[in-house]
Amino acid sequence: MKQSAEKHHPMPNGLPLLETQFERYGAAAIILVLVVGSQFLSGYYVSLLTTITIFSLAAMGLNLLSGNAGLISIAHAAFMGVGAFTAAWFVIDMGLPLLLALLLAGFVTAVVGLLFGLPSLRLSGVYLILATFAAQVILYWFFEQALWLTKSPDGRPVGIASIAGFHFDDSAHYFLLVLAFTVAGGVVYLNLLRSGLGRSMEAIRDRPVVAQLMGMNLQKTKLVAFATGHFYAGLAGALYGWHLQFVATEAFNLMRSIEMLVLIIIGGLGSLAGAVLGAIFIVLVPEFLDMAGNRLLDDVSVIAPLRLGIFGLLVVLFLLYEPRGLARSWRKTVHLFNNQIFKNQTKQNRS
Amino acid sequence: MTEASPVHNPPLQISGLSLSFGGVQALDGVSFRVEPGTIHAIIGPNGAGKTTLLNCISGQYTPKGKIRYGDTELTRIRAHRRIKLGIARTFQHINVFTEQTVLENMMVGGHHRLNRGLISRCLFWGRWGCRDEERALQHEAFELLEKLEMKQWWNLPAGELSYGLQKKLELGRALMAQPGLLLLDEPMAGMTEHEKKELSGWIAGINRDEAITIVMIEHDMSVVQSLSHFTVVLDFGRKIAEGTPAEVVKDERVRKAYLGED
Repeated sequence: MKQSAEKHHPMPNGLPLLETQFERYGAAAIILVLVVGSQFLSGYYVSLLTTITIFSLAAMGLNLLSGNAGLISIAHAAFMGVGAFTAAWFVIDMGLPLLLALLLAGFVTAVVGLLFGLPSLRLSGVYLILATFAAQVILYWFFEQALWLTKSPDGRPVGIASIAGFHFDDSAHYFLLVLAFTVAGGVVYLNLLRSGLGRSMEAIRDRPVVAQLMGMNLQKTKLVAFATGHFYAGLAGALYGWHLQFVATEAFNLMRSIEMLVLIIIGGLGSLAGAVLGAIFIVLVPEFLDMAGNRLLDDVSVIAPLRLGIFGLLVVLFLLYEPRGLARSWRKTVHLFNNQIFKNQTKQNRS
Repeated sequence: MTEASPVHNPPLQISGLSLSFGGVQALDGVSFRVEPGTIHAIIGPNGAGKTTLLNCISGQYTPKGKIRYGDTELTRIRAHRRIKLGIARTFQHINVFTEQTVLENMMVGGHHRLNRGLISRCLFWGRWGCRDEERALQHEAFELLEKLEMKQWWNLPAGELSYGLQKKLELGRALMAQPGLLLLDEPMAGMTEHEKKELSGWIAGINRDEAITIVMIEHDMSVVQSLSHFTVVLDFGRKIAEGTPAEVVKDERVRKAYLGED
């Protein structure tokens, strides 16, 4: 009961978006720094930031599905692909405006996710993972075959994003668009978690029998999780396409799907912080390893396998020493700061 | 024993309930009636089919026979819809959500009274948002915690509560459903004498003040005698006796099967 003293409020606080002052100011500060700072960074760093932000958005969807609802999926990247290709098709072939296409791509992906979710309703554990593996394989095969949608087995170029005549030829501007979607996605994720949907998904994950007897419809809740989680995947995939200006089939392969699952496990299952911290980890660590490799070793053929090896080792170490993910390490640190900086306020709350 | 309270809940009528798992006859033609507002105890040795019977009423199993709650035939209603009829339950083994806070656990109990859909939950704020009903539920959950004298732990993960408090939390969670019929599976198991006494008081109070009908499985005969208006005795899936607790303990078959006398 040690935690109780730190977390104690005398009364429930009416379900705020973020629990503490520290989180509220922190989030606002981070967004502000990103908005301003990104405009002064070089293209390479903007590109890294954009990738992290898009992966955060995608990871929120997977975290909702696998972290909160407990439906483990290794097909998330394939669903990102669905979103990327449909958005490209809506914009280039159908001539729809970008913003509409992005949202429609999310809805289409949600429906596709729902369809793949239907047979999975009776499965759980390893069998569910195998079913999502099948989804990954089927969708990837589809990308390679359906040339009316994907144009070539390798993918299709989409050019530069533009909204109402404004061209995002500066990648720092495109980052702002991505950031806006990701912040909105984060707010919706937090809203879902503090509402009855969050409670019912976690109830069904932890104690399905109790959840059912408390009036929760297991099938319906799982389908909602499939639809919502994959909406995020579709939206993120579509944004990823215009980030690279090319929707590459390869970017949505099984390896990437597994990487997404690793992302939320390392970041922290079932939380927004987990999705964001995991995305930072999954993008930056390979990048650092590349840089370090280039400095230390001249032979490029050694670096690539070594990079994968070290990355794998880091993942294993994480599972051993911080199985609850970076979000938990983060929370411990924040508690320390929180108690220092906002000491007075906490005291007021208590009295 | 307390007086049965006057009520508007419907009666529960169980007739000819049978259920077998493989070769084992878990329930064999069990019939009895639970009058509104009473406390009904189900007793019997281990494996007598008590929990199976409760599971049939709450909906995990589909037995042969009839379970009528008022005018509704329960066996035709899916498990997750029965709580809307006012049927809630607790479990023999602790079944709280250990990682969720005490308050969130309570809110799960009132879940079936939430009406808002997915879009409104995405939005949360504003006219189309779900904030008002969520806040109302949170408020209600906190008030009930206050009544249960557990409000100081509202923000604690339920897994950190003591065993006795977790059992009490389960009772609170079931009460959040605002039930007319409450099914309790060994609510006193593993509790200290002091906790048993306190919880007995609570159960009698709920029954008296809120006029909730209670069907309760209990091993402790002193609890059964002090709390229940009627008692049904099961043995090997059959009803071997029923009546007031005082009548039942005098019954020869009951003494033989349950109280271990020859």
